[in-house]
Amino acid sequence: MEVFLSQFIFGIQRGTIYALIALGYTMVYGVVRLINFAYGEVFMLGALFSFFIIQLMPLPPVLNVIVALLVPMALCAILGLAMDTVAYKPLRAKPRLAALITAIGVSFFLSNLVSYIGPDSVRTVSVLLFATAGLVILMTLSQKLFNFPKVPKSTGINWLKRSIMVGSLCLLGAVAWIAKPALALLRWKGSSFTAFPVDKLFEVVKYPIFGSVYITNVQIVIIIVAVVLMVALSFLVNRTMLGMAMRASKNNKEAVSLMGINVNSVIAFTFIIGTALAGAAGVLSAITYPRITAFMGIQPGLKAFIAAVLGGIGSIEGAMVGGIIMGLAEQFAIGLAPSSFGAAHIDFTPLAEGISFAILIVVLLLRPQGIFGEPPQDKV
Amino acid sequence: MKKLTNKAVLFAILGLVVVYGIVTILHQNHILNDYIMRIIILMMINAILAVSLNLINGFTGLFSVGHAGFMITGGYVAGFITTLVFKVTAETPYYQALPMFVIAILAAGAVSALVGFLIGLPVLRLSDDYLAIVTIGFGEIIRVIFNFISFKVDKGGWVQDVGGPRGLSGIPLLSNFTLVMIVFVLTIIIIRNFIYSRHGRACIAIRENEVAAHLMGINITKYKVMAFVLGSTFAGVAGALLAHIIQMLHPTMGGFMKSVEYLIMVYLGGMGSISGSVIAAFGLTAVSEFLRPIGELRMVLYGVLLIILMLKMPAGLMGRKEFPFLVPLKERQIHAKN
Repeated sequence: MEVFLSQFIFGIQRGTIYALIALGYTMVYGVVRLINFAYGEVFMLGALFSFFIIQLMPLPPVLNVIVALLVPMALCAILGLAMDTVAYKPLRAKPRLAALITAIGVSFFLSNLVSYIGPDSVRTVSVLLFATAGLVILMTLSQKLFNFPKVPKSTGINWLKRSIMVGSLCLLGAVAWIAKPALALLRWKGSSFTAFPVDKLFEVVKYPIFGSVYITNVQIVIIIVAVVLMVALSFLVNRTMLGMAMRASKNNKEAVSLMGINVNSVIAFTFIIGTALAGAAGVLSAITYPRITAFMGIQPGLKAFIAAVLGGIGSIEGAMVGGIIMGLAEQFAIGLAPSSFGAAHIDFTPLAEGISFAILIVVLLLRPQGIFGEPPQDKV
Repeated sequence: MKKLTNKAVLFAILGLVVVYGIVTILHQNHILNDYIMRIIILMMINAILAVSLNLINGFTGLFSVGHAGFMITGGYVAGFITTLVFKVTAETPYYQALPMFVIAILAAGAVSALVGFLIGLPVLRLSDDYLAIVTIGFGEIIRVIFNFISFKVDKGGWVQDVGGPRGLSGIPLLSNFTLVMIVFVLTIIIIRNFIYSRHGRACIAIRENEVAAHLMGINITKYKVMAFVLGSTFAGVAGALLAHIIQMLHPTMGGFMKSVEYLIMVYLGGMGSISGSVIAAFGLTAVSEFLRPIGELRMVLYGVLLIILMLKMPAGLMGRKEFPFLVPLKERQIHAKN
C-alpha cells in the first residue's frame, strides 16, 4: 500500500510533465495536422534556459522560482514562433509528409547543436540565438536571391537548381577540407551533461502523509504549476476569441479564413502556446531530475506524443488525461518491475522503459482515435 | 520509330565489371589502402539501406523513421550467428567462414522481415503519422531489448556478452569488397524488378492516391506490408554486412539519429528514384568522411540540410528520374513514343 501510494505520487508528477508536452502536440496537430517532433527539443531548451537564468540572476527565492519558470517559457515561445515561420509556414500548402520531415530536421538540428556546443557553457544561449537569427536571415535572403522564374515544363526540378545544390555541397566539402585545422579548433566540448541547481530554488522539504510515504514541496509546486497552466489553457481555449478561432480552425480552415480571421496567425499562436507549455515542462522536469543533457528531450517528447495519441490526438482534455495515465503506467512499471528474478537475477527494470511503446501499439490496435478522439472521416 | 536495344543494361554490366576490376587491382597493388576500401564498402552498404528505405518512403509513400532499428536487428542476428553460434574468429580460414556468413546474412534478412511484418501489420492500416511514431518507438524498443538481453557465452576462455549495454563485440571481419558488391547489385536488381512489377505499380498507385488505388481493387494493406517487409529485409541484410565490417554492435546504433541519416540520403537523392538514393548514399558517406574532423557539427549540418531540402528542393537531386539501365526496355520505349 505504501509502495503503491508513493509510486502514485511520483506517477502523477511524471504524468503532469508528459501532459504539458502532450498539450503542445495535440493543439498543433488539431489545427495543422502536423506532428511537431521538435517539442522534445523545446523541452530540453526550456530546462537549459532556466539553468542559465538561475546562474545569471541572484534573486530572492520566491521571485527566483517565478522568473526561472516564466522567462524560459517566453524564450521557448519565441523559438516556437521562429520554428513555425522558418520551417513550417512555407510548407502549409505542400503534402503533410514534407512538414513532418522538416520537423524531424528541426529536432535533429536543435539537439545536435546543443550537444555540439555543450550544454553547460554560457555560449550556448548566445550561439543558439545567433543560429536562429542566422537561419531566419538565410531563409529570407535565399527566398530573395534564389527565386528564379520557374521553367513552365519542369515540375519543380531543373538543372540549375540541381547544379547549385551539387555545387554548394562540393563547396561545403572543399571548405571543410581546407579549413580542417580551424574546424578542429572549433570542436569544443564541455561535459556532456550539467546539473540543474535545484538548491538555488528550493530547499527540499519532505512532508510525511501516510506511514513512510512522503510528498516533497518540489512535487507540490510542480503539480500546482501544471494545474494552473492547464486551467489557464482551458480558459484560453474555451472562453476567449482566440480560443474560439483555434477551435474553429480545427474544424474548417477555409471557412475560418472566409470569416476574416488570419489562420496563419492563429496557427502561430498555437505554436507559441504549445512551445511555452513544453518549455515549462522542461523546467519542471529539470527541477525533479536535475540532469540536463542535449538529448534529454527525445524520450519525453516521444512519450508525450504517445500520451496525446492515447488521449485522442487533437483533443485537449485527452492530452491531459493521456499524460497522467502515461506517467502513472510508466512509474508503476518502473517501480514494480522485479529488479532481480529467478536464479540468474534477471533485472526487468530496463524493460519498463518500453511500456509506453507497448501502450501505443495496444491503443493503435484497439482504439486508434484514442480515448477522447472522434473516429476519423475520410473525405474523397 | 527506331527500336531501342537494351544497350544501357549492357553498358551498365560492362561498367560494373570494369569498376570491380579496377578497384580490385588498385587494392592489390596497395594504391587504395584499407581505409579507402572500408569507405567504399560502407558506401555500398549505405546505398543498400537508402534504396530499401526509398522503397518504403519514396515508392510506397509511407513514412518509416526506424530503418536503423531493422538494420541493427539484422546486425545482431548475424553477429550472434557468426560470433557465438559458429564461433568464427579472425583465425578461421575465409572459405570456411563464408558459408556461415551467408547463412547469417540470410537469417538476418529473415528475422528483420519477420519483425517488419509484425510491426507493419497493425500499424499500416493507420495513417502515415502513426507509422512514423511507431517506427521511432520501434528503434527505442530495440535499444531497450538489446540493453536487456544479457546472456553470456563462454568463448575460448573469456565470457562474452550478447547485447547488454556494452554491445556485442569481437565480430569477425567477413564483409569484403566482392561480397558487399554482389549483395549491393543484387539488392538494386531485386528492388528495381519489384518496382516495375505488378506489385510495384500497386505500391506507386498507393503513393499517388490511396483512395483511388483502393477503388481500383488494390489491397492497400497487403501492398503496404509487402513493401515495408521487403524494405526491412534489405535493411537487415545491410545490417549483417555492416556488423561484419565495423566489427562491433551497440544498442544505440539502432536509434533515431542513425535513422535520420538514411532519411536524409533518401530525400537528398529524390523520393522514388533508385539512382538518386545510390548517388546520395555514396556522396553523403564520402562527404561525411571528409567532414570527420569537425565531429558532431556534421550532425548539425545534416539537420539544416534536411530542412533546406524540404523547403527548397523537395524533389531532391534526381526527382523521380532514373538512370536508363534501371528502367525496363518497354518502359523506355513508351516514354520515347510520348
